[in-house]
Amino acid sequence: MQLDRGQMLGLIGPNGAGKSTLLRCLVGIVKPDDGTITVDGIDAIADSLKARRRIGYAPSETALYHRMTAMDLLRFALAFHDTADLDRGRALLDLFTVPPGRRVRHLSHGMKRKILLAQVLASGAPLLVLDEPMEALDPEARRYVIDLLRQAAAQGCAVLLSSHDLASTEQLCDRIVFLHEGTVLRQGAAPELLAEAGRMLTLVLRQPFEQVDLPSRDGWVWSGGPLRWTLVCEGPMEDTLAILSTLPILSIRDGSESLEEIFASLYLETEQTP
Amino acid sequence: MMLLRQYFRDIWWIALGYLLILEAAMIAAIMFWPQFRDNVPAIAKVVPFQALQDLISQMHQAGFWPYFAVQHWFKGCSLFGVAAIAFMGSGIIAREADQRTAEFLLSRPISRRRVLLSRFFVLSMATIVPVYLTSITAIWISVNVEEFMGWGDILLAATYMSCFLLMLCGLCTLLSTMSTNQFRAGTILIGFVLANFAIYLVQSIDTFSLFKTIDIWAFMQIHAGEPPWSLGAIFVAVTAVELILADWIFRRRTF
Repeated sequence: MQLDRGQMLGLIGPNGAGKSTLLRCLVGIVKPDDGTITVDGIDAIADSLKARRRIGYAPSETALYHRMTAMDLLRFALAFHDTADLDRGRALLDLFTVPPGRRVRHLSHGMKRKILLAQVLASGAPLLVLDEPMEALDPEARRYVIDLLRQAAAQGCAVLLSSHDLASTEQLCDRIVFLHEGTVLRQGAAPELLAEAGRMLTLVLRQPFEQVDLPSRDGWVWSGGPLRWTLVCEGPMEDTLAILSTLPILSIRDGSESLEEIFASLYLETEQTP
Repeated sequence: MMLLRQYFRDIWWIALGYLLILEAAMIAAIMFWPQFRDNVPAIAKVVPFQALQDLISQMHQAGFWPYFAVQHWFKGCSLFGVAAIAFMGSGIIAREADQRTAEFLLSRPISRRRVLLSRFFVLSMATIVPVYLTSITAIWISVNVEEFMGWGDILLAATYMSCFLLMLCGLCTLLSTMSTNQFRAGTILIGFVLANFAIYLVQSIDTFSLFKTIDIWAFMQIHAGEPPWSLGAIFVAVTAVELILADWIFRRRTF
């Protein structure tokens, strides 16, 4: 996996896929069993501190120092970054409507998330790492975050984020990596992956069918039933449609509409592979 | 500096409470001295345990200094000191794990060693500064009961007691780096100290107790101009070992 300056990369995967663990390895919270991580040419495992000077990190966990005020917490978070801009952080708190003088313990989950985002965006680090950045945010704040991350990328920052929010990941990221149990299932640019998703067809049949009665080919995976079936297929689409024409199909739809469906088909394949 | 300030903000009220309690206990002990002095033989008869009877008889023979040493350093500083260390220090690292703030803290560009040492420094200062302050104010307060203590003895005794408390700060730091729960780290420290006090009260095994190193004899040596330097050095060395171990564990710990 490689991320260049100005790029935004999204990690997608179900719970336990290893998204957060990967990000935690990057910032030295977890020591990886194997492999290498390099940030700006620095070995992030052997020289974690030096690598972290180049990383602005927002964990998914919003447990923060609850006795501090929002502003104190921001000040504390930015104090260790040489490149941090506290005024920008303060402006971001205002933008996100976080009361700077209120103690963290009195803030909602979403407000704490906004503080974490403000400190990342004001860190001045060339690599921004965000674990579930959209979680608990209202739609307006999501729009701000998307705009701000795009601005950061346009200014040369690399942005790495993990998310369950597939819609905003698709909207935001240049490249997407699907993870499953610590391994990369697929990666690529969002449009490429969407094109690939044409391999997934959803069929609604006029009468119920058992799986054994459906046509079968190498590389085909059926799921669902008995009236609504999903087919993940390989090979030319014309051949596939010719074979399917023998079925009493009420409607047929391809899965190239959203990342959600790529996600569903990838994990369906993984689960069905012995 | 930010790390020091952040930790101090968390514990200053405990440190202040510890200082006030220590000062109040010290003033009360000094003011009680005239009554105590006049009733030593009667008190010695009702005190349980040979170890405590020895302390009383020593006070009877040598006067105010051993009385003050027992009341302030042996009893006050060790009792309230251990409680303060447990309250303030058990959370050094364990609270970060307990309250799930470790990920936020440790993802900042600061080394774990710096986190550990700066917090240990704050804990140490919060523990030993009250020992010095109360010991020094005792010089003026004891004049009220017509007793006079020299600066040299007081400062040496406070330094010796501080070395002992530093060792407990180190132990608390070590326990905290090993624990996922602040309460557990504090309880283990207090349990360890109580066990040592229990051992101290049993005459045949009292030499194995940590309290043997800060009882009346150590302070009488200081008063006699022969401070137990070697013991003080051992306290400092043990503190260093505890910190090295804590650092080793903390650097390898996953949160």
